[in-house]
Parts: sequence; C-alpha cells; structure tokens
Amino acid sequence: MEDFIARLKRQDEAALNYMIDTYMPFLKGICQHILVKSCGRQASEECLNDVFMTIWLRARQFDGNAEDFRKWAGMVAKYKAIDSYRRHMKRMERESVTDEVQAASTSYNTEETLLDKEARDEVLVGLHSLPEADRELFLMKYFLSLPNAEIAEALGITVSAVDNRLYRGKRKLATLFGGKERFI
Amino acid sequence: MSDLNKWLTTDIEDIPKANVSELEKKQLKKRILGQRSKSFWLKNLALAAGIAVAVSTTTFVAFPSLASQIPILQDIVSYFDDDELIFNHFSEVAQPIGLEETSNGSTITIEEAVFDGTSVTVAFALQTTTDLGAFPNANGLLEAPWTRGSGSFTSMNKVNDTTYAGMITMAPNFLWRAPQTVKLTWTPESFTDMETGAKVVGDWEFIFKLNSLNSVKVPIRKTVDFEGGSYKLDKLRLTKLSTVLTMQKKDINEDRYITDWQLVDNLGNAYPMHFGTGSESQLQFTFEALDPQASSVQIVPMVKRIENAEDDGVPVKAPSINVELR
Repeated sequence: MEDFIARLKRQDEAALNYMIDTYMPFLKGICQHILVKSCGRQASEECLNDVFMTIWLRARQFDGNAEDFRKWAGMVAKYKAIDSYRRHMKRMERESVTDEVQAASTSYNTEETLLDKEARDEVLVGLHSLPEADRELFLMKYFLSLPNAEIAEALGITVSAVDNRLYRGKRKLATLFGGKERFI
Repeated sequence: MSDLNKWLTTDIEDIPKANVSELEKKQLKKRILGQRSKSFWLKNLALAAGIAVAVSTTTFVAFPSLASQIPILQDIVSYFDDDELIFNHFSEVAQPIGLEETSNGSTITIEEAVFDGTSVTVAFALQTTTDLGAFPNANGLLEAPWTRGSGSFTSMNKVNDTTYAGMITMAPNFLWRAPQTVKLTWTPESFTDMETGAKVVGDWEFIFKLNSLNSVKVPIRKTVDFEGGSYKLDKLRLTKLSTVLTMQKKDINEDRYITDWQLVDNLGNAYPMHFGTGSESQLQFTFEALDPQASSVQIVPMVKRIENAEDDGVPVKAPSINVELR
C-alpha cells in the first residue's frame, strides 16, 4: 500500500486491513512466543488485541517509514507481552499468599508502578523518538517499571551504568513527553 | 537465566512468524472497529454534553404491511458479497419488519430480520443527503436486553447517492436456553465516513421482537474421546438458516488443545464453523444450513495439540460422529 502510514493515521479502514494482513503474523508470533506457554493462549490473544488497538488508536503519534513502523509495532508487541507476563506472575504470587501479606503487597504494587496506564502507553508508542541505544533501557524503566538492578541484569551491565544512562536520558525524555516530574 | 531476562534480551526479528487464519483476521478487525465505535460515541457524548444541542424530530412509523410492500431496497442482501454475509439463506427466511424512523432529516428503515435461535441478523437501509462514502461506519449497538451481553457487528455499503444498505449480526448470550422470541433494541447513534469525517447524527431508536425460526432437533448423545479429554455432543438444531451444534466439554485443558468443528453431509458438502458461543458448561457452534437433500451428517472434530508456543499445533486423532437426519 502506497501511503499506508498516512492512511493509518487517518484511521482509514483500508489501512487497518493492510496492517492486519501484513503485520499480524509477525506480531502474533511475538505475543505467542512470550505468553502462550507461560500464561496461556487466551492471555496471548488478549495481548495481541491490545497491541493492535494501541497501534490503531495511537498511530497519529508515530513518525517514520514502513521499516520503522515494523520495528515500532514489534517493540510495542514485545513490551506489552512482557508486561502482561509480569502481571500474570504477580497475580499468581498474590493468590498464593495469605490475606495479610496480600494487603501489604497490593499497596507495594501500586507504588511500584511509576506511571499510570495512559502515560505508560504514551512512553511505549513514543519509543521511536527515543535514542536507539537507550530505547530498551527506557522501556524497562518507564513502561515495565523494573527495578534498576533487574535492568542491569537483563542488559548485562552494572547498576551504576544503568543509573548513569537513565540520568543522562532523563532530560531527553522530559522534552519528549512534556512532563518533567514524571521521570525522576 | 530467568524467563523475564530471556524475553527482555530476545531480538524480535528472531521470533518466528505465527500462522494467522482469515477468520482470525476478520475477528480482530471486528474487535478493533467495534472498540472504535465506542470511543467515538464517548467523544460525541462529551461533545453533546458540552454544547448542549438537542434537536430531535423523530417520527415513528410502524406499519409492517405497508412498509414491506414498498421496501426502499428490493433486496438488501444483494449489496453484500458472500464474504460479508454470514448466512446465504437470509433472504429466504427473513421476517419482514418495516420499521422506519427519521431524525435530523435522515431515515433508517429496518426491512428484514431473522433470529435462528442463536444469532440475530438485521437488514436495514439508511437514506441521507450527506455523502458517507463507500463504506460508512455505524456507531451504536444492537442489543438484546435480559441476555448476558453480546456485541454486534454492522457492515454497510453505498447503494446510490442517498441510500446505504446495512447488515447487523449479533449472537446474544442467553442466560438460560434460547427463548422462542427475542426482544431487541437498536439505537444507532451516528454514521461516519472514516475517510472524510462526514457524519450523520440522529436520535433513532428501534424496539422490536423476533420469533425464532422453526427448528428440528436431532439428538446425538455421543461422546468424542481423545487424548486431551472428551466432548459430550448433545444435539443438532437445524433451521433453514443455520445448523447449531451444542455440546459440553470434559477435562479439556484449552491451552493445550484447540478444536475446530466441521460438518460433512452424505452428499459430500462440507460446512465450516461460522462462530462459537456459549458458556463454560455449554458450547454452541453455528454452521451454514445443511442441504435439504442430505440424509446424514458427519461431525468432524479437528483437534490440535499445542506443544510449542510458536507452533500452530499437532493434529490429534479424534473420532468423527455420524448422525442420521431422518
């Protein structure tokens, strides 16, 4: 399709058809890979729906060509799926502990999430304007709200290196998303 | 390495693509467009509340005999291709409705509708001077009160400069078994051309009842046993529009085993499944109506075992069940 991205931004139904035809196998593959075994087929399907819905509703915020779009959509799928996996695991944990502990851990969980869902989706879809080298790092921090130590482990770098890169990236993030205080 | 770390470090380009069926694509599209209607509706509501404009000139005409004598469109179904239509026999069995309402100068006529005991299909025409493009998007759900929710899907095609043909399909989730008549409400809120943003807003409301089509029940009472559990097949319900298979499942882990059903009659016609509804305890699958010449039908379970998350599944042996129809 010639002007797929422009049409998608206008929420043209033809662009939706094209997007589903072209990218569903790729995005479904990602959701399945992460979720089917760990959380079940239904979790994977729900995640895939959420991915397409987010892309469809927020396509306006995307800038770039078809190749960028593919990467962007793939990252949205990957991080949505990982997020869904973590929620699933937390729920399992909570269900297996007593009520008393449960109350404590619930309040812990709410504090733990740095940004609300809207803001997190904004970070996720805004990822293409992040510097490429720090993209995954920022998504781990601000979309998944992973502790710095876990980020360090995943990226195979030291915690202080994570702190450093987050510190340097903050100014960039603040200009991108307009709300400085959110990224402290 | 923990699972989390494994996934965080996975390169998305290394993940194999999944197989996607045409049905899945269609369902995803429906879901996305359905959701879109809702958010548009919410926006409209907010807008209306802010500006507080409420102009409504609704007239209600309910002369079924009169309206059905002079339908706006001879045959709404003919404006849809086979792919968009769930049921090929719609026009043969549809009940004339002939309800018409005008709001803000645009008229909606419900011409025909049918309830086969499982799903509802409604054919309507919209007459308006606003150009809504080739495929307008309809906002506002068709609902069946007293059922456990549903969700409807509307598709529309342009007929001429001022007329559009529309079909709505929905499958209510009945609390108990399907009733003989179903009460429906349809409150279309607006019709939009997604290309240009052109929009027709109105205050239409339709309330009508449909009688269930006559059906023939064919008891099955047989069990399909396979390695992942069993399905207890209950009965087939045949109407001129569709065939509905009901069953219960037993000890089946749905993350590991998925089953598609197909009917094959003794004349060699195959009828793929259109959609499934129902609850945990009672499953219902809807197929196209059987050929009236058929004297028996094979119910073919196509079970797949999911071993690896990325795979499409390994076919598993499961016996077909033969049912005599007369």
